[in-house]
Amino acid sequence: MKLITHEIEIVDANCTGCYRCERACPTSAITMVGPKVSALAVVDNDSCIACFRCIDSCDDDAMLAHERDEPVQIHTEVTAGDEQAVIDLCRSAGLDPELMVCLCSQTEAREIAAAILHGAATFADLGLSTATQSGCLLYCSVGMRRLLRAHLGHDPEIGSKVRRYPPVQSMLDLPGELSDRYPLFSIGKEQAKARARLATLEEDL
Amino acid sequence: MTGTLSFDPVVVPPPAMHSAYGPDAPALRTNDIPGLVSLKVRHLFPDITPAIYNGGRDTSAVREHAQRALAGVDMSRIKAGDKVNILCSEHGFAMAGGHAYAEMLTTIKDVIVERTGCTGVRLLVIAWLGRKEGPELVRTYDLERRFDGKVRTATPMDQGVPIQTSMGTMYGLRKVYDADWIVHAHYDDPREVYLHRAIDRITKPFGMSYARMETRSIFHTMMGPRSGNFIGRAIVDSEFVRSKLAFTTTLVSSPDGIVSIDADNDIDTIGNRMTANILRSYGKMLALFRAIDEAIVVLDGSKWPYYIHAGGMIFGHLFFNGQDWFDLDIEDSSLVIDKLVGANVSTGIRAIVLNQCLIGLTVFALPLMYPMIVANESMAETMRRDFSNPGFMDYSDTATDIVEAIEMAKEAGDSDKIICFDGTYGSINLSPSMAEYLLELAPECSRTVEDELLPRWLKQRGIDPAGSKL
Repeated sequence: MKLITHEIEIVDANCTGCYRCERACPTSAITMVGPKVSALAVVDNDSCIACFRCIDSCDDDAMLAHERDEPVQIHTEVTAGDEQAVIDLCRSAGLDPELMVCLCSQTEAREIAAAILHGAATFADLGLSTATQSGCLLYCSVGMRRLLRAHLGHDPEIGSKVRRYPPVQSMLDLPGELSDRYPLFSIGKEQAKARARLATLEEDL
Repeated sequence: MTGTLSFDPVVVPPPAMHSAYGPDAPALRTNDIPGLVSLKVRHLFPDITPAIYNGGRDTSAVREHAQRALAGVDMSRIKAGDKVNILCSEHGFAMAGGHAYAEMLTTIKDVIVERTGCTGVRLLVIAWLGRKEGPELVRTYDLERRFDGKVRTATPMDQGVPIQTSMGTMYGLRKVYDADWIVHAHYDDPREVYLHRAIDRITKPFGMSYARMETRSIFHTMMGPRSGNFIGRAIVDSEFVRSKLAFTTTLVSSPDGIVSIDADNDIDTIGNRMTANILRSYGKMLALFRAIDEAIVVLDGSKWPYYIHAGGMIFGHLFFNGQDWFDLDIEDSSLVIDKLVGANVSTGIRAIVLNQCLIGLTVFALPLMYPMIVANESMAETMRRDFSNPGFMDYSDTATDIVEAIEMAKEAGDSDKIICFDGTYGSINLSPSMAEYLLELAPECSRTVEDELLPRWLKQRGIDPAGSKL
C-alpha cells in the first residue's frame, strides 16, 4: 500500500537514449520510443509507482519528479471473501500472511496474495497493484516470486526489463544437517518455530 | 558547564559528504547548538581501547598499522599477471569520516603490488542504494587517484553470478568475483547488532554487500533473526568463494576510533578475533545505551539515520535498545526479523531533531513514535521525495534551523538531555545534563558487563575469555 504523490517528467532535450531508465523501471512505465539508435524515453505516469529508479539511473538530467495534482493510492484490499484463499496461498508459498514483504510500501504477504488472486501475474503487476518495488528493492523480490510461483505453478514473468534472478530459499528449505554443523545460527530451532507457526495457520483454517 | 562538573567543548563533527541522496549541506550543524558540550567515551569507560586515529586527514598511523598487519599475510598465490579485486562496502566510509578506511584500502593495494608484482589490483566500491552512491564515494575519497584509475562501483541490482552453497544456489555480484583473487576488506563497527548478533559478523558482506538483491531479500524476509546470518557463512564456505579469497583485512575499532588493522589468510581466524573485539570494545557502550531512558536525539550526518555515529555508536544502537542483542540465551520474541527488532525500540527517546540524513532507508516509524522536528526546509523537501518513507513529513514538524528545532524538541519532549548523532568517534556532543546522566549510568553498566555479560557473551560463542585478546 502506498500513496503515490509524485510523477515523472522527461526532458526530451536532455535524453540521450541510453535505455538505462527503461531497464530500471519495475512497472514498465518508461519505454523507449523511436528507432533503436535514436529512441527517447517516454513515461506513462498511470503506470508509475514513484520509485525514482529512473532518476537514479539517469546521468543526463533528463528525469524530473513533480508532485501530482491528485495523489494516487495503490492498494489491494484483502476482502472477507478472499481471506481463506489468501491464507491458503501464503501457506503454500511457505509465508506468514503477516510477513512484511516490502517495507517501503508496507505491503504484507497477504496483500500480495490478494493481488495475485485478483489477477496479478508478474512482478510488474504486483508493483501496480500493491506498490511493492517502489523503494529500495532489497526486501520484496523473493516473497513476490514465492507467492507468484505458488499460484501459477511455474516461475512468473518479470513484466519489465528489470534484471531478476531465481533464488527463493527460505529458512525452511535448509537441510537439517546444517543445524548440527553450524549450531550458532539456531537453524533447527528457528525452523521448528516456523513450522509451528504455519501449522497454526492450518488450524485457523 | 553545570554547577558541579565541567566538560570538554563541543567537537566539530566530520564534514558532511554531498550526496544526490541527501539535502544541501545545512548551514548549521550540531556544534552550532548553543550550550552543548562534549564527553569523551574514555571518560565514561576508561578501559575502552584508545584510538590511533579518530578523524582528520592524517592517516599515517592507519597506514603504518595496515603495513604491519599485512606483513603477516601470505600473498604468494597472487601472481604478477593476476587480477585482484579489493572489495569494500560503503559503511566503512561512515566510520570516523571515512579516511581511515580509504587509507586501509590503499595500503592493501600498495602492499600487494610491492610484494607480488601484480598490477592488476582493482578496487570495487559497493553501495546499497543507487548507482550514483558509489561514484560519490570515489570522488570524495579520491579513490581514482589512489588506485590509478582502477576503481569500479557496484550496487545490488548489478549483474549476478551463481554460487553453489549448502543452502542452494545464491547470487553474488559478478563484479565482485570477476578476478583471480578477492580481498575482503571489512570493518568491525558492530553497526546492526540487532541483526547480526555478533554471530559470524566477518562473513556478513558476502550475503549483503557482495550479493545480488535476491540474496539480500532472503536475509531480510525469508530467514529467522539468527539463521539469517547463515547466508554469508554458506557463501563463504562455498568452493567458489574459497577458491578466490586471497585474504581478509579489517579496520579494527572501538568507540574511541580506529585502534588497529587486522589481516589474515584465514577468514575464520580473523572472524573470531573480530567477534571478541566487538564484544569487548562495544559491550559497555551498548549497555549504557540500553540504560538511557530519557533523550532528545539529534541526527546530523550524510548517512541513513540508523547509521550515524555518536561516540562511535550508531543511532540504531539507541533506537533498538530494548534487548541485549549479544545475549544468545534470550529467547527471541518473533521469528520475523523486523517484528523482533521493532518490538525492542527505545521508550526513552522523547523527541528527534533531523538536521541531515540520506533517503532510501525506511524510517517511517520514527515520526510515528516520537515528536519529529525536521530542522530545515531543504531536509524537509528531501524527505517529501523519499520513496521509502511516504508520509514521513505528514507526521513531522519543520523548523527554520537546528537551533529553533532544538527548542521545539525540548518543549515537545519535556527534556533537556540532548545527544547528537553527528558522525563523531571518541567524544559525544551532548547537553551538560545528558553528560551528567551518562556519567551516573556508566559505573553500573561497566560492572555488569565486566562481571556478568562479557564472560557470558564470549562463552556463548565458544571464545575463551582469557585468550581472546587481539
